[in-house]
Amino acid sequence: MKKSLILGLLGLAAAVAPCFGQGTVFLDNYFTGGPNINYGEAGVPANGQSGAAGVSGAGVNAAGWTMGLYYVVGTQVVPADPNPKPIGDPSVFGGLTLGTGAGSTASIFAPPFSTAGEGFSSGFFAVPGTAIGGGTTITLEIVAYNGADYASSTFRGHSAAFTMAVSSSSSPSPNPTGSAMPSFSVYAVPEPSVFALSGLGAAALMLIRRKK
Amino acid sequence: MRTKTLLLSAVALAAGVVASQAQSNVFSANVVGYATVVLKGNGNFTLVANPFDDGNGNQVTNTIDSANLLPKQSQVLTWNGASFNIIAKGGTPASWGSTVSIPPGQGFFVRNGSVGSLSPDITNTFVGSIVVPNGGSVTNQLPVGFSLNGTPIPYAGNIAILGQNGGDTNMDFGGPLGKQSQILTWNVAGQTYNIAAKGGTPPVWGSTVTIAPTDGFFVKQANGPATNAVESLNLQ
Repeated sequence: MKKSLILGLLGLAAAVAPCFGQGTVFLDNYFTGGPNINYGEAGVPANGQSGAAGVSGAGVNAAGWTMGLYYVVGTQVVPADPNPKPIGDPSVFGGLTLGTGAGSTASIFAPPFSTAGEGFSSGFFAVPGTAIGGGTTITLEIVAYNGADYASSTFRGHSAAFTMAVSSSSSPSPNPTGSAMPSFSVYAVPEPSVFALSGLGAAALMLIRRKK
Repeated sequence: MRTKTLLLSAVALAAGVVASQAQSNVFSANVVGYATVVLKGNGNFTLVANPFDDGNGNQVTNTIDSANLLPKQSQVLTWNGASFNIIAKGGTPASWGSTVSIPPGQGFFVRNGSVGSLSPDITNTFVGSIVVPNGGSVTNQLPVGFSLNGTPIPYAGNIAILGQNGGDTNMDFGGPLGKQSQILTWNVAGQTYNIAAKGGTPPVWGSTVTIAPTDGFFVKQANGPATNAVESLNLQ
C-alpha cells in the first residue's frame, strides 16, 4: 500500500512541470551579438538629444536611447507602416500592444557594456496571454526611441514584424528577441506641421486631378 | 527522524566563535565560516545561495565575484516573485553594470560567461558569519506561489523526504508546505530542474530533496496561506 503510494507520488513528481506564470522573453540583442539598431539617416543626434550626429548606417553608439517592444499573441500578418520611414506607431498601424512593466524596455549602449546598437533589459518580460509553460508564438516589433516613450519621441524607429516562441518563466535563459528580430534603424520624426502640410498637399493634388 | 544536518562540517566551517564586545557586559557571539561552490563555466547556469552574511551588505558582485574571475557576459539572476531580474558583466575590462544585495537565505542564478566562450568552471568561496548566534533561529518566509530560497544557516541535508511530510529537523522546508506544493532544485549537468512534489492524503513528498549549504532552490507553496520554515542553530 505504502509502496504503491510512493510510486504514485514519484509519477506525480515526474509529471509536474515547473510553471511559474506567463511565458517570458528576454528583450536582448547584446548577448546575441545583434542584430543591431542603427542610425537610419544623416542628422540623427548620436545620443538622440543634441550635438554630433550619428553615422548613418552605423549602430547607435551613444547612451540616451531606449529599446522596447510591441506584441500580439499568435502569428499575425502586421500591416505595413504607412509612413515613408518606419517611424509609425505599431499599435496604430499594426494593431500590436505596447509591452509594459518589468523587462519591457532596455537601454542601448549602456555602460559598462557600451556596445553599439545593442542592449538588454534588467529582467525578463512576461507576455500576457501566453502559456505558462512557454511555447506560445507571439508576433513582435522592436522599437527604439530617444524620449520618455516611443509615442512622444522625436527620433525613433521600429523593426519589421517577426515571430518567436515564449519560454517558461521558470527558465533562467528565456528566448532572446535578438535571436529572431531583424536589424532596424532610427529616424527623425517629422514635425506635426510637416504631416499636416503633406496632407494638404495630397488633398490639393487630388482636387487638381478631379478638376482635370 | 534522523537529522542529516552536516552542520558546518560539510562546509568546513571555520570553527571560530568570535566574541565581540558590543558594550560593557553585553557580548554577541558570531559564528563565522566559509563555504565553496563551483560555478559551471561555458555559459552554464548554477543555482546558488550564500549561507553567510559578509557584513558588508551582501552585494552579490562581492559575494560571488570578489576575485573578479567571472568573465564578460556573466550574469546574476534574482527572482522578483514573477520573473527574473538580471545584472550582467561587460565592457573592457569586464565589470558589473550594477549590483544587488542578496541576503543569506535567498537563492540566485549565476551564469558563468556565455555559451561557447569556454570559460572555465570557477570555485567561489562564500565567507562571513551565520545570521543567527548559537541557540538562535531564523524564519524563512514561504509565500504562496514561487520563492527562490537557500538555507541561511549552512546546513546540508534533506529539505523534503520521500514518503514523509517534511524534511530533516532544522531544515524542514517541506513540512510547512501544503498538498501539491513543489520544490525545484537545479540540475547543473542537465541545465534543468529536478522537481519534487507533495501529494496524497495525508500529503507526503514524492521524492527526497537533498541540498548542500550553497544550493539555491525554488519552493512553490501551491495553496495558501503563506507559511514559514524555521531553522535553528544549535552548536554543541
